Amino acid sequence: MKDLYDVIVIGGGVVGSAIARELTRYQLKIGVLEKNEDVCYETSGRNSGVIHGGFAYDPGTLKAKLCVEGNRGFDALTEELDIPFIRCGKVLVGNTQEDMENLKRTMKQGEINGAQNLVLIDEKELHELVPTVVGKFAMFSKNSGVVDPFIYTIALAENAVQNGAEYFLGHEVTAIERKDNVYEITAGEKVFRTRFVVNSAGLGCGVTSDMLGIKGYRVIGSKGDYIILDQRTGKDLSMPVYPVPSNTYMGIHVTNTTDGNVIVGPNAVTVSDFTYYGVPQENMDYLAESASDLWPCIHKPDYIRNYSGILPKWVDENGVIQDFKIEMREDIAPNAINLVGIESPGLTSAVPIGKMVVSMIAEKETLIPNENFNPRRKGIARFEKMSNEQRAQMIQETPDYGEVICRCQKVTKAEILQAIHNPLGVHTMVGIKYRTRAMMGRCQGGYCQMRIEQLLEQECGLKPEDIRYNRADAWILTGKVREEGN
Amino acid sequence: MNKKDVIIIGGGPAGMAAAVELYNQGIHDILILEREKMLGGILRQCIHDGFGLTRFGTTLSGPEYIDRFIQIIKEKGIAYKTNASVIELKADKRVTAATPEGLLEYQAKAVILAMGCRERTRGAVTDAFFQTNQEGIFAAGNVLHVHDLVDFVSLEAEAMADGVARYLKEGSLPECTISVNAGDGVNHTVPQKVLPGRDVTLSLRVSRRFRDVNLVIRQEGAVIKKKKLRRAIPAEMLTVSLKASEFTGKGDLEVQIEC
Repeated sequence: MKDLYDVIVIGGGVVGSAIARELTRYQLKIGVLEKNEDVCYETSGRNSGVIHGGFAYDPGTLKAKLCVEGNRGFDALTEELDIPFIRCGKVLVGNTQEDMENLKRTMKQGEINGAQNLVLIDEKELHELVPTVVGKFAMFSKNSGVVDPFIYTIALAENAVQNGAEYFLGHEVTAIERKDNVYEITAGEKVFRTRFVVNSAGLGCGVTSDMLGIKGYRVIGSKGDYIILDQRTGKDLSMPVYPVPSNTYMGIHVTNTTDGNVIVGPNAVTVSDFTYYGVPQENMDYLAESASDLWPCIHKPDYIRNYSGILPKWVDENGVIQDFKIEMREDIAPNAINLVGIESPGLTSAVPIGKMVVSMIAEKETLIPNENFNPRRKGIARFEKMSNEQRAQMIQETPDYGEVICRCQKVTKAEILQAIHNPLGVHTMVGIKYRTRAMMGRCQGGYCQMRIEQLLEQECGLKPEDIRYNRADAWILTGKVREEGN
Repeated sequence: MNKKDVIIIGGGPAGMAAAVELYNQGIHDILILEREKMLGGILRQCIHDGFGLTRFGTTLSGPEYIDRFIQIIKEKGIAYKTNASVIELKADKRVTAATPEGLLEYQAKAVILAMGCRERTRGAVTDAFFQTNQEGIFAAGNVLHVHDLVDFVSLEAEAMADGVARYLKEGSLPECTISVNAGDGVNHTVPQKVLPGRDVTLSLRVSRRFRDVNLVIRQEGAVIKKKKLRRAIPAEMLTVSLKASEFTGKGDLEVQIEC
């Protein structure tokens, strides 16, 4: 008799992992099926990293409700899970009378939604907050913040695993059948049998919903490109700066990160190919030009990388973007929780979504608490963030903290080793990058990539030809140029 | 806190050439801090040959060229630490390095920046002694500007070591009051400040390709040097030597390409 899971969560991104973690509070056998080799390769790792205040959504929507709830609990969450987070606030900057009307409407909407600490500020106050911004007035959302989206997703997943959930990486779901009141889910080479299933597949939510038999959701992709600026620009941006928004599009903004970089973007282009993440030059030029009106500190010598992300948006027949859909369709797919269109503010709302999914399962059966549940997870101690006294101490205890591997971000061998031996068993180069910040600096891995690759070989018993950059087919080395003795 | 006369950050071609020259001038209280497991810097990965043609009259691979310096370092017992990453340098010349043996702190009288360049040269402003705008902190090699020929790196580092030796002996260096300005067709020059009364060699790169032009140096409007260039490209560093007697005015030097 094959293993029977209580719940299989399809998609191990920030929402899927938050769901899995919430489920581990109960005595349930949980499996998470993630198509990629790590948990934050798609939308969860390709966004602005902003924890939103909750004012940008139509009142009465799940987006509004879950965002406000998520924002409120975020300090406690980041403390529990050791996630980098700065509740720096955010400004929406305006210049015209129309902007002012919009901001007043936004504030009203925010108040209705329960978003707190929204205040209109004048030019003087604006420049006290962000001296470098160009604008006449702004709405200041004190509760907004920025988070490291990689560590956030990884921390949720690691804590879920710590508490007993099983993660299956590199397992894309290709078929779902229902037999004898049980779901049979084909993923990778395996068939998983489970009583409950959660569709938290993000970009794959439409396809997965179809597999469950819940057809008809129209899901479009909204692709946004970003430019990453060197850390030397971080001193010029203390909080995200946005232009006055509409309810469907945030506008080209600039965002500080928890590590002192600045990201410029995103734009928004509708796409149907959810696998293409290239960033065209003209898009970068457009981003820089647009955002420079607001924040004239964007210079090409500071560009260190670019990236893009795609948001899965559920739209109606007229192309109007809909709210989050979190449903159980007992008539079509019993015991299946279907999440469709979880786009922004998905990052902020992840844990409240998790709690909502759990409560939906709890309506169908009594859940027994897991006495051993531990909500706390410890991350890798970062040399870069320590004082010299702490560093000296750390090196005494663990000499590998004295060997700097990534010079740009001051990441030591001890951190790389801890990252390699991570609870999810991720062994890609980018997996190490997201867990330590190695390769994220000015030289983008020019110096340390080779050293990280050697450590992966050594620690995991891998041949050079086995090592992948990020995806399953992202081989780095194909073979020796010359054999020894030639 | 360990005291040192000279801390050299980087044990590659520039750092080692500087160390050897300093040693030859009687300065022995030197320490090279190198972040890799071995000395050699970028030359360890330059496996093609062509190195050393100017300096040694023979062509060597990168590792062979640098090995000549490593041998001298070892023979003379010049102090160096590998696996040592400098993580902090203060204006008062305190240097902090992370090593598996511990966090090490030094107080140096002079510091030499010879870290080479990974991604981009940041190009410190240097004077005729290769001193940066921070007193007692010097720079040479790829960290200052990217070189084509390591032979010139060695020469530059030796010239810098002269400056360091004088700095240690006299406690300070005279202020280089004459700026060298890169004009039309010239990308940059090293050094950017020179001292009246002291011979100097300027290294520079042109900003685009030129054929049959003149490299012209003017001081106070008057041409003090003209060098015919049959062909000049940005990829090849050029040098031009100026004797002290050639620039006796007080004004800045303007360096440019003229047809």
